Amino acid sequence: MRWRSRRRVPPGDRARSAMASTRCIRHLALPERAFGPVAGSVVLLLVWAGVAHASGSGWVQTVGAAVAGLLLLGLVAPGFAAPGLTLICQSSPTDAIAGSVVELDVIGNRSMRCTARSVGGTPLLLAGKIPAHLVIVPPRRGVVSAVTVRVATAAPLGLLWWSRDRVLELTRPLYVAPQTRDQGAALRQTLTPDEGQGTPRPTLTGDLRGVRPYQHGDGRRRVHWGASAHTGNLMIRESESRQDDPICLIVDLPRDLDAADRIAEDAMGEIVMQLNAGRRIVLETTESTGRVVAPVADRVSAGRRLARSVASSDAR
Amino acid sequence: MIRHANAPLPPEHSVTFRIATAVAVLTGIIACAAVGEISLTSAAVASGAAVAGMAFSYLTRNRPWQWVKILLAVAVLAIFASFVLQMISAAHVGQLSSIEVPLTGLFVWVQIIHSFDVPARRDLLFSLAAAGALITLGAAQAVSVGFLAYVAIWLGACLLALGCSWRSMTGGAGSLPLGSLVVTGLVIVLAGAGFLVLLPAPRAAQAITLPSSLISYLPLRDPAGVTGSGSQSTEPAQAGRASGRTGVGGYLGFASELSTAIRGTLGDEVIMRVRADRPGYFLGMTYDTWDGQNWKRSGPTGRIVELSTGSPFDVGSALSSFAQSTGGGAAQNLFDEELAFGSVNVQTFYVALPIANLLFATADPTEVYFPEHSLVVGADGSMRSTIAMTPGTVYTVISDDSEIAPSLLAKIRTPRPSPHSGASDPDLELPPGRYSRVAALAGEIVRAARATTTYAKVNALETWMSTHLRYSTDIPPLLAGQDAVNQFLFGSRVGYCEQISTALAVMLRTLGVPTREAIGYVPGPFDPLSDLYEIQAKDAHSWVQVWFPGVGWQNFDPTAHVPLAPPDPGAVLLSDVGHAIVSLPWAPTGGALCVAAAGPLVAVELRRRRRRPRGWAGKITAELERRGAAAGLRRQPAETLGEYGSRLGNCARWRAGPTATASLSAATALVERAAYGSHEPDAATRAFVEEVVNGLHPQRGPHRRGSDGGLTTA
Repeated sequence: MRWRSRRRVPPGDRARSAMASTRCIRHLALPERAFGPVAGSVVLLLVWAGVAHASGSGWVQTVGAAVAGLLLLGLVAPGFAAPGLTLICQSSPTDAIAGSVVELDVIGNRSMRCTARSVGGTPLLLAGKIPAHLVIVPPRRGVVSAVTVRVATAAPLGLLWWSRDRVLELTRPLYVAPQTRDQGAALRQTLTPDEGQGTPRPTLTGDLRGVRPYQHGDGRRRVHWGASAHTGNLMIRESESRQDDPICLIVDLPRDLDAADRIAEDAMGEIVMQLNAGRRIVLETTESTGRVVAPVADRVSAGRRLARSVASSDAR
Repeated sequence: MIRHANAPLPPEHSVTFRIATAVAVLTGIIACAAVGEISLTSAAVASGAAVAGMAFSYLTRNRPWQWVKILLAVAVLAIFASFVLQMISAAHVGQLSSIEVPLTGLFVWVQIIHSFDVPARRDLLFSLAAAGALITLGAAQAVSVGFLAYVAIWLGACLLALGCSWRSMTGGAGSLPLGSLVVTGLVIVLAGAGFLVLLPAPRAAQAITLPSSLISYLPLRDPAGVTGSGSQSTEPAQAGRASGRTGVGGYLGFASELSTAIRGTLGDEVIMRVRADRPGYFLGMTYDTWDGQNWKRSGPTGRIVELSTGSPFDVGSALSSFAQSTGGGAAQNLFDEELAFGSVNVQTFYVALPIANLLFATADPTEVYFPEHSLVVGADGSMRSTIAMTPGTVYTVISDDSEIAPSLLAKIRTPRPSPHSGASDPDLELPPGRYSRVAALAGEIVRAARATTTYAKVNALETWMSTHLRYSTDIPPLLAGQDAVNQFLFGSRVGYCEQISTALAVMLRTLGVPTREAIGYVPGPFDPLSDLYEIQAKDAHSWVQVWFPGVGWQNFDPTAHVPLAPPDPGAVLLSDVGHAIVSLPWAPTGGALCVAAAGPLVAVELRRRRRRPRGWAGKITAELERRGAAAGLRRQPAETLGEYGSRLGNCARWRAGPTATASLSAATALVERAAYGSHEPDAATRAFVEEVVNGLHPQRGPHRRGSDGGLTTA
């Protein structure tokens, strides 16, 4: 079985896309939705000053100064606290599926709100140094070793949130497998008829059943040289086919991420289907280290292979 | 969107948050009561209701009662309608300044009502903000530094509440970081102090009605005169006595006459607080007649007019009419084109102690806001109230503090006639035949300085006084019949403001310059928190007013140029000790002394109780030791009870009794068993031992030496 996309991308693009999770990091702490609190504070202090100067009361001005100090500290202090926010991943899973929820065990050095930025997720409020589960939703297949998290604090008075980005290093790489898509007719249209629905290809193993003429794709070691000399054409040994003969699935991914994801999802669906049918699968993919051909025993290993796979060198 | 805005928020479970918010609210209510915005009864009811509401909200926080919300909404609408009606009625009678009290009532009621529906964090934060409004309303009327306590408590409660709010925002787990909150509070205080330093001092806008109010209304029997303290409103003004303090902080002035022979004891108590655009000499009254020991008021100075127009009083017009009636009006306009015009000084006085019925102000008051229908204005610019000036009285004076340039004063070369017409001029009069030496001295000083103008003469005399006189309040009283000025200038040359200013006035009068004695207050220490000058009793002062034709009366303070007298160490030490004793905080000091005195007593009692024998064995042992000591045989520290019993048994100092050596040895053995052997003796054993021990009676008279061989037996 050969499954090749028409579009090819150079090797390494997939790696770059995996590392995209740690790009575009905002190291500078900035306030979030500051207009309301700041404008409200300014208006409040102006009213206070107006009352003080209309009444001529020094105590009103004193109370107003205290309130100004309180508001100033409440609005500005989180900006000084935000750079000191630290988030540590205590444990993270190894495998995940794109679009599904992944929980990371995290702990912070102080109370904060953190939201995964490079991958999807829900905001998490951390109360001091109490461990919590940060939920992320990886949108794409790939290998994630770090997650960009936007940490925010409004300490000590909770008047204004200030945030900055932090790179959360996972304890181990997270292999995000593609979603399993039932390829159905769409997949089958891309396969050649004899490949998709024909008799299972004879293998080198099993009892010899006879010989047959060479067909495109047959291995050279299967050539029956005696019969070829006798007939004058290349003849191929044909053995009794076994049900557990591995199916070789070649996945060449294009450079386009969306298209690559779709292909990977289709491949995953095929793998799952074949595995469910009790067949063995040899998966041939292109990883950042080169071409890898190896059997996959289950959907987890298949997911990891597809997560690691990148666009093949001849991909366009 | 409305449904979303009114969506119920998660309930707030933090008790600390609620308590901190309640403390902030209660502080605001109590602060308003402390400054008189609401009555104490109202404050007590409001505080109780607010606490009850907070408790109700806490109990129903998970499932707030909807019908309570409806009731509260109706109540808020009713209260707001009541407030609007009060506003309208106040506007009809032109007392829009009285909005503060209804506004405080509105806020207090809203606070109470809202406290019954604060299930969530946002509601508690609203309560916190409303508490800020209450404390601001209280601050608008606060004049004492004691208000700082309310501000501090409110700020601390706000800080704690906001800290709890932040903890609640992040899940509400963990303990409250009190340390960081303390640091935050310190930073807030520093930031607030910085703002306070940077901001300009608030000044009351004259577009609104300036502050004036009364706490109590005590009409005076003789409003035209100067009365004593407000608490003794019917008492006519009397000169102070040296025996003690007067009712006006110990100052002997502010009466019908001012005696320079005696001096009262001026204290540190705050008489008034003043908010003024510019500090100055706050004039109370003037004297024009000098008899050698006392200043008195004569006809021209004592002329008065009663203004019955109600507040605000146009005092400027009254003073102008005085000037025109005495012929000074035309003269006063001589240099109008050269005067530096336009320095309006708004001064609001907050009376803190009962004072004389004088309204103080800097020079040339033009308008007075005083909550009474009439006001008495004297020709010298002094103002008197027709009611007693009791604590809590507030009035505002607008003065025209035009600065007269010294160069302009120096142009006036020849003293013009006094503003008072007639042959007798009290501003120039002196007791006959007394001041020839003073006149000679003044003339010599003026000639030496080649001073020809009034201003130059005053300066020359002040310069001479600064080098030849010394300031001290520690001077002996003037003897009867002695002339204060002669005694001062040709005697000790040590005195205080009254001697110094009187000397200058007399010397100027000998030179033909009209002068008069002015008394009042100088600004006391400035309180930056309240933006008020705190006038203390010791800030009472006297100075000299000199008549400049075409300009008017000008203030000169010769005391400011006179250096302090060298201190007498003993007197200073005694004075300091006396002041220290008087100013001691006696409540905490007395408590500390009581604790210090009770400490040793308690220690002795504890020690006695600790040494007191416990249990039957201990009591018997103690009794045995007591009887042995009475016989001259004290138990040695290393001696066991058995050994001690044997020694007692071998002693021959016992008078009589059923004891014998064997009995005592057996008894002590039983006691030892009871004490150390966990053996509880029965009643018979106890009786035996007690009988043996109680039978020990030492012989009377001298002990016989060498007869310790045995016990006497009955």
